[in-house]
Parts: sequence; C-alpha cells; structure tokens
Amino acid sequence: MSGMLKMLTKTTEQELGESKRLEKVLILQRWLYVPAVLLAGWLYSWPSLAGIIAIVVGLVIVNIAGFYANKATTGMAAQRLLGFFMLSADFCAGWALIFILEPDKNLLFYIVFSLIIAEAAIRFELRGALVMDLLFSLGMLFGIYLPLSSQPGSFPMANYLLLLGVMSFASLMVGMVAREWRKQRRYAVQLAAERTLLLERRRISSELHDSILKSLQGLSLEAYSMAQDHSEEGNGFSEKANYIQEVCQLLSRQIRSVIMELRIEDIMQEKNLSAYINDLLDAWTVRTHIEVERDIPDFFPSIDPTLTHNLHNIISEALLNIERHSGASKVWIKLAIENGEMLLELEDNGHGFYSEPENVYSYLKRGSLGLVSIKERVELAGGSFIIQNSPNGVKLYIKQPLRKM
Amino acid sequence: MISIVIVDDNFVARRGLRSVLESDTGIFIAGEASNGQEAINLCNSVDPELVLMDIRMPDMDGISATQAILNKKPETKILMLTVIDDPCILANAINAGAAGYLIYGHFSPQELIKAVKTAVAGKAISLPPVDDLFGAAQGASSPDIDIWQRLTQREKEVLNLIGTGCENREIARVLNIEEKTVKNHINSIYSKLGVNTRQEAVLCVLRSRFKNGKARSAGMSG
Repeated sequence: MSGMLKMLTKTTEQELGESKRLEKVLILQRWLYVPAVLLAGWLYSWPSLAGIIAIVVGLVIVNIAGFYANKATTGMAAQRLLGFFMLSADFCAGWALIFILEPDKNLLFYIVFSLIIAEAAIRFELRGALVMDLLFSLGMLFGIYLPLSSQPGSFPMANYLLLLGVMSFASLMVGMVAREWRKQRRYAVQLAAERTLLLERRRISSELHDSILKSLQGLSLEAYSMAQDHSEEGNGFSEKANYIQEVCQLLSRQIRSVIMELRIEDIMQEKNLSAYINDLLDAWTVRTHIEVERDIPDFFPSIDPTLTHNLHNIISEALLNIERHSGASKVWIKLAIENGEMLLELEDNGHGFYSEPENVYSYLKRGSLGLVSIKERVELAGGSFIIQNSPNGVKLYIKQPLRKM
Repeated sequence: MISIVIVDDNFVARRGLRSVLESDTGIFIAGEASNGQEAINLCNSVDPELVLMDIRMPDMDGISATQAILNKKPETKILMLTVIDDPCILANAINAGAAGYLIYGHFSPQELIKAVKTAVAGKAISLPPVDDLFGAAQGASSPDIDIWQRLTQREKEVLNLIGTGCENREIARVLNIEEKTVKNHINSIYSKLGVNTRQEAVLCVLRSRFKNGKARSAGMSG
C-alpha cells in the first residue's frame, strides 16, 4: 500500500515539476520581450518613451517575481495561480504596447497577440486559447473601428477578419496539441505506474511463493513427524502437532490464493483471455445463480497485460453492479476484437435504473461507484463507454484500443 | 537403506523433509545442500541413490545441477521437489533427466516416502499428476498413439526448445533456421498435438512423459 501511495504522490510531484519547468521556459522567453519592446519603440520613433520604459520595467519586475514565485510554490493550485498571473501580466503589457505604439500598426498587434494567445493555449489548452482569441478580437475591434484609434477604420474589415481567423485557427491548434500532449503525459505516467505495480506484484508473489510457502511446507512436514514420534504417548502432544500441521496447510492454501490474485495479469496471459473470463463468469454464476449467456471467442491473440487487467476489472465491476442493483436473472456478454479494438457488450434483464441519469457521474451521487469506475478505466485506456438504460435492463458497450507495451 | 541428498536453499524445508524421511527406517539422509553447486560436490563425495532437488536456488539452479550430476553418475535418481507449478519449468527439469517432480502442498508425508521408494525402483513420479495440476481440458492428447511418433525430428527439437521457454527468435538462432520456418514447425506441432498454445503443447509433452509410469528423460529426442 505504501508503494502505491508513493507512486500516487510521485504522480502529483511529477505534474508540479512539469508545470514548474514550463513556467521556467516561459520566464526565459519573457526576457526576450525586453529587447523586442525596445526595438519596437525605436522602430516607431519612441511615441512614448516613458510608456515603453514602464512596460520594460514592468516586464522585468514580473519576470523576477515570477522566477522566485515559481521556485517557492509547493502545490498545483498555487502553480496554476502563478501561471494565471503571469499570463495576465503579459496580456496587460501586450495591450499597453499596442496603445502606445499607435493602434494602426496592425502587424505589430498580430505579432503580440499571437505570442500571448500561444502562451494561453500552452498554459490553459483550448479554453485558454479561446478566451484570449475572444479578448483580442474584441480589443482589436474597439481599437481599429471605434474612436480609440487615431484613424478609425483605417484597417480593412476583410483583413481584420482574415487575420483573426488565421490566428484563431493557429491558437486552437496549439491548444489542442497542448491538451493532447498533457493527456499523453498523464497516460504515460499511468502506464508506468501500472507497470511498476505489476513488477512489484511479481516480486511479492515470487517472495511469497519461494520463501514463505516453502517454509510453511517445511514446518508442516516437521509437525507431521513430531506427531508421528509422539503418537503413542497419549498426552495430547501428537494432537497439537497435527493441529500445527493443519494450520500450516491452511495458510499455504491461503497464500496460494493470494499469489493467484497478485499474478492475475500473468495468469490471464498464460491461460488465454477467454479461459480466464469464462472462469470468472462461471465462478460468478455459481455464487449468484444468475445465468450468463456468452459470445466469447475460444482464442484471443496475446494481449497487453495492462489491458487484460483492465478488462478483468471492468467485467468484475460490471457483474458486481448487476448483482447488487439490477435484480436481473440473466446476463449476456459478448467479447470480440474488431479493427484493433476490444469490444465488450454486457446486457442484463434487470429493472434498469429507475430514472434516466443525465450523465454517468449522476450515478455517483446515488452511491454507484462501479459505473463511474468503469467509465474512468475505459477512458483512461483511450476507449469509449456507452450505457443504455431501459425498464428491461441495462446495456453497456465498451470499446478499448489494443495496445502493445 | 536408500541414501538421499536433500537440496534446498530453505533451511526450514530441508529440516522438515529430513524429519519425515528419517522417520522411515529404510531411508538414510546422506547430506544436505543449499544450492546447485553444493549439491554437485556433495553427490560426488557421498554418491546418493536419490537426490531431492529444489529448482529455484541461488548461485546454481536445480536443473543445471541435475544435468551436471547425471552427466557424472547417470544412475542417480533425481526428483524435483519444488513450489513451482510452471509446466515449462517442469518439462525443462524432466528434459534434464529428472525422474519426476513433487510439488509442495500436493503430497502428504506418506506419499513423499512412497514416491522416494518408487523413484529408486526406477519409476516416474508426478505428484500431483499433470492433469490434476493444470486441468485435463488443456491440450488434447490421444491416449492410444504415442505423441512422439507424430512429430518429425525437427519438430521434436523445436518443441524441446519451447519447453525450455525459448522464444521463436531464440529457437531460430539455436537451430540455425529462419524464424518463419520455426513458426511453420510450431503450427505443425500444434495441429499434430491438437493444441493452441505453447503451454498446452508443453503439457502434452509432460502428459506423454508420465503416461507409461516411466519418465522419458530423453523422450523429446526420439
């Protein structure tokens, strides 16, 4: 358990570390703004020297403060707040620059906008890109077409719309890439954690197997021989030795079952996924007396252990849900591989959910953690999850991409 | 008196085995070793009739030690006594010349004593039987026809290597043939034995080994 906790803490630490590194890159990049602003001031013949100096000084102060704040933050919330402030500072500096250097120099506006929108997209993904696009398009509209400009309307509306369109498109792309990148990072971290867990489980099960199980067996043999040696004494010693032997055998059986659970991925790989799922369903039917009609191929190609583990957990979770909540007497399960995806269909003839839930998270409020856990498991593995509710039962459709490790 | 050497890295297991075996007047414990190398040295000096050999041990494992001991004294009977229930590893041990296997938790102390005596008499020991351990359903095998007659020499070599846990690439390298040819051989083995997986093929082999009550240590080669 401590290993698991350590891994979870490590994931958050890793996320914080990544945010800090990103912030550091943005701070470094902000230093380039200082000569850039001075260069722009010189190119435009210093329309307001004081204004330009104020922007430069402001950028320097923000950057130094940001640098130390980035070092000091210890949590993700503080880190996000810092990011928001830094972006706001850039946003203000950008607008100040535009107003000082005459609003009609459109090229400059767009350069400044692109940089800040890109920053927003990197920091806050799609949402950041959209908000910044909106703020700048409105600002530009006011700047160019309203009396804020010294020459209102000097920039053709068509150009404005074209440039705005191109910029929005580019920023949305950056936002999407940033989002995808983060998603993949999270997925990679999750995968690494699962692999670590798998290796750790193997180590523990091998230790249990080779050392503890064997010692118990040795002890059991020893107890047997003690019982034999003292069998004719009639002082109860022999019975006690027999008792110890029986306990050793019981503990051995229990340890074997723990080992089986720890090695579930390996067993599923060795045993063939179909056989494993069929065993799971058989055991469930024996326990619950709910009949299961199956459409499962006899043989599956070898499948990534993380996926098999995921699939095993999904099916177990779904069955538990049916057992507890559905009142069903029959279940249909279909498992297939199509176009590189694992398809799972699970249907029951129970009473369904009493009211139509708006989304899967509303099950959570009703205390049904199972479906939420299934949904999250599926989505984390890059799959999709559909649930159909009717008074005649619930149908789950799950698609999960097969992946190789 | 049957002289026995116990080889196991676990002291508690060795002690338990000794206590049980010594309770039989016909058995004499000639010595104990805690790894493969010690076992080889001990067998050289005490020349036991039978060795109870663990598989997974530090420094040198039981399968390598079995090969080394039998190379020098082929008449020694070696029984693998282990917690491992992996058919590939068991097949590997039988390949190395072991007279059989006993898996902890699947035999009673009396059965252990009986197994020792049976093995010394030249019979194969499989405790528990292959079907009990891995399920009878896995891997079909006709009881009437000897599996080995169905396979070609090359297929036997390939199956032999599968039993040692080799991947296709390794098999290709060892036999100096193309990986594709290995795959063809494997498909042919599967269809002849009526199995679908490597594990089932190895189980088939194990079953045929113990079918006639005699471990065929060189069975795979012919």
